[in-house]
Amino acid sequence: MSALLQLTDVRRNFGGVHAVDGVSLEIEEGTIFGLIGPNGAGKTTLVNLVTGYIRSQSGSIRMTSRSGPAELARRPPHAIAGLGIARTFQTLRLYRNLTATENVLIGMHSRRRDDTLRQMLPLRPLMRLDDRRLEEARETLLTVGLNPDQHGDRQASTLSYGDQRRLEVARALALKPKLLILDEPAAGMNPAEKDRVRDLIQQLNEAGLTVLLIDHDMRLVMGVCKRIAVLNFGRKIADGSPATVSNDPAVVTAYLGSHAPESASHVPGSEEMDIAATSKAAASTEPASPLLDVRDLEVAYGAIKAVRGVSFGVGKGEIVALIGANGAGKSTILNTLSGVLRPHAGIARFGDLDLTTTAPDKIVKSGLAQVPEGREILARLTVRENLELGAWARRDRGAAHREIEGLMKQFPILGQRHNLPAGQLSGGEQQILAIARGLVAHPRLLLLDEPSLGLAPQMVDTVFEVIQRIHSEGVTILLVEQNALRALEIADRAYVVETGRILLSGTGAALRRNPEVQKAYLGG
Amino acid sequence: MDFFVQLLTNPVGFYNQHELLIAQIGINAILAIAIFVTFYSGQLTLANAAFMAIGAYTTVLMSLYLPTPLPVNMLAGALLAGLVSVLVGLPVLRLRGVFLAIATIGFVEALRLGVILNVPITGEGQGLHNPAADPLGGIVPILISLPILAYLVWRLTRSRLGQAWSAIREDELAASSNGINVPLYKMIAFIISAVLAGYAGALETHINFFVDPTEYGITRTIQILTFAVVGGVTNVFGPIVGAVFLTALPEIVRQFAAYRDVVNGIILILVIIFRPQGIVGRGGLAIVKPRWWIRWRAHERPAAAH
Repeated sequence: MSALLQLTDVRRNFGGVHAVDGVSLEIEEGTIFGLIGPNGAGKTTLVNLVTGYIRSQSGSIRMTSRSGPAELARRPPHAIAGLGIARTFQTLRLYRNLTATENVLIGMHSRRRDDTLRQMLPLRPLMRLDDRRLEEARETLLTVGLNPDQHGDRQASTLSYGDQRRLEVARALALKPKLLILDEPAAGMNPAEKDRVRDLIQQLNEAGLTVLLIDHDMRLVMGVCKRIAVLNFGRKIADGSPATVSNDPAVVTAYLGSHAPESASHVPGSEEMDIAATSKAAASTEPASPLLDVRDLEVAYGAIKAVRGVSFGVGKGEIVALIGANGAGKSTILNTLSGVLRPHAGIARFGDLDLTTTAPDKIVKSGLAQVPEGREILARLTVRENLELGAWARRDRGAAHREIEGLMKQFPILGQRHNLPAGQLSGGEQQILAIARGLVAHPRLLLLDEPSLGLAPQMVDTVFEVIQRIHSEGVTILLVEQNALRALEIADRAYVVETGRILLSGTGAALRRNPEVQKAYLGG
Repeated sequence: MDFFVQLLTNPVGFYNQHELLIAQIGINAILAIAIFVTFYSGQLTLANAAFMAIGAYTTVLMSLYLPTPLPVNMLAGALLAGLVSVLVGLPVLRLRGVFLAIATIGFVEALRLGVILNVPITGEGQGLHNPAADPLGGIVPILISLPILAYLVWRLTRSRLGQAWSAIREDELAASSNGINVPLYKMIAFIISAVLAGYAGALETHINFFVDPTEYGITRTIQILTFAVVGGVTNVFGPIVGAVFLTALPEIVRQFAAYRDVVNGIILILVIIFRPQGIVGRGGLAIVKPRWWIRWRAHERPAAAH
């Protein structure tokens, strides 16, 4: 087997940070190569170096193409794509306003002859080529599990999150690549959806495609990859078969976090947990006078009802979790509570405040802050400026300023980087910044939307510790989480949301023991 | 009202009476196609007035000093605009969004104040008299060119090139990952737009007897921009509809001639509020109901029930 892609001593610094610090690796043709490492390890930077979005400062990146070996390090992204390297993006980058089919058609760009002049004369015999291309686009959609009749003519932005991820893979496949780079294809997916991603990767690989997979889900990476490289602080710390890598002590400490073995082998409902759960169970009933009271809430996007009659309450001092699959309506509920969306029907009260009619800025001022999904930090502003924006709603500027200083001390990750553009932080650091920004508004109730999305296990631990610390300081928390296991661990009470309705509710511990919940959301 | 009555009952008489208006509508529609091409590739460039000026001055100067026939002069004007657009585009197209808009406006003013008003051959502030002007004959090439250009650009948006423009408009980073040479395709859009604007400028000189430098300033640029905003940029017919509508409007509302700009402004505001995608665009004839409108209706309704 020959190497399709060969990296030799590739380096890239951002300011003083060694994002990629002398990495060498070889990806053989026909393999599935996994690249893992904690947030901020330099995985995405490495992908950006290979695909030409970032120039390397030294080292070589060679690809064996039809016309012999080619050096990629000095080529622009479109030329590298033309050589047969296709990629997906960690944060979805679809052509949102174009249809699914159009997205795939554009993916064919580099291997399609220019037809600009022929298009000027749209005669039937000349258009046969278009039909063939359309047929191919339909087949590509089918490959990734999208139905061309059902999804083909829909605007990409109207597809569900999982379908958008699939569409991005289809668009990359349309290039007919030799190497497909998937940057966290399973981020934000539930176990069932992750299984479908795994099947798809395997199926593509069997058809002869070489795949470079980056993901935090160890079950996915270990299950599908034939070879794995581990990055930490921009360096490669291990490289080998899944078995060798997962037993490497350096990998275990760097990647999984110190108390990882415990949580990895953790069986829902183990005894130790039960004790903690029973002590919480006392406060498990619906609060008598809730801080947040939601009744029969209905929210629709046009004709599609996303939330169909949801009722729940959050008592003062509680952590309440909403769990459920993608597209269940969890984020929609949070966005309605923060006033970004308006409900069709129903009641949502925060203390005396009617959340269904109050303007979002007034809701924030009254003490309800939201940390949105995907973090939504302002990448070009510095860490400090991002926090200062969080204080926008406050009149007492002096106190707000002191508090920002306090937050910087409380979260040293932010304090050390206060003058750095937020876009240069790793995913986990950005999440902590987003939470801190929510705290500056001095909330009584904090809405957290998918705080662990796309984070490495070690970073997930840190984020959940932060959440618990905030809670112990008296902030009530409503948490939406894909990582149901972790969410149920810290939640007093939880609700399972499915297709816009509440399916189950109970204490965190009780739900964790519930076999239905285990099967559907805990991957048990 | 007379305007429409005459249009429907006596089209020949209408044409004879409004020849200049029709010619101006045609020119503005071509300018609208020009700005559409850059919009379609996701670029907010406002240099069209400058490229018009290049087309206009080139064709008139050639008529004055060279024995070449008129069509050659007009084509030369359009091509020179395209050539200049390459030189301008190389540095300027690295910018995006509002920065690109400002840089291109800067080019418009630099050309007008810096070159036209200072180079003697352009007549400086006096303008130029056009010996080849032919207001009535000038309409014919305009009315022939417009449908041809609209058709060509419409087909262009359907081609591989047009799809690349769509991709760039939606997401430049993703476009380059699909193998699209983003700087190249942006430049192609900018050149095509400049050639069209240069051609429109050349056509315009032949329905006027005079080339007036004040015609090619920011006001003109903004006017062209409003064609696209009011008409919508989902497809090439949007800006054309915008151009026809806004050019004919002063004639339609003649009674308010004194308030022409006010009427224009009100229509622009109404379109932006209720029809942000433009007159022609996605969503059929649906209008967008802004939040305050919905809230106001919600307050109205219970009151009406009593």
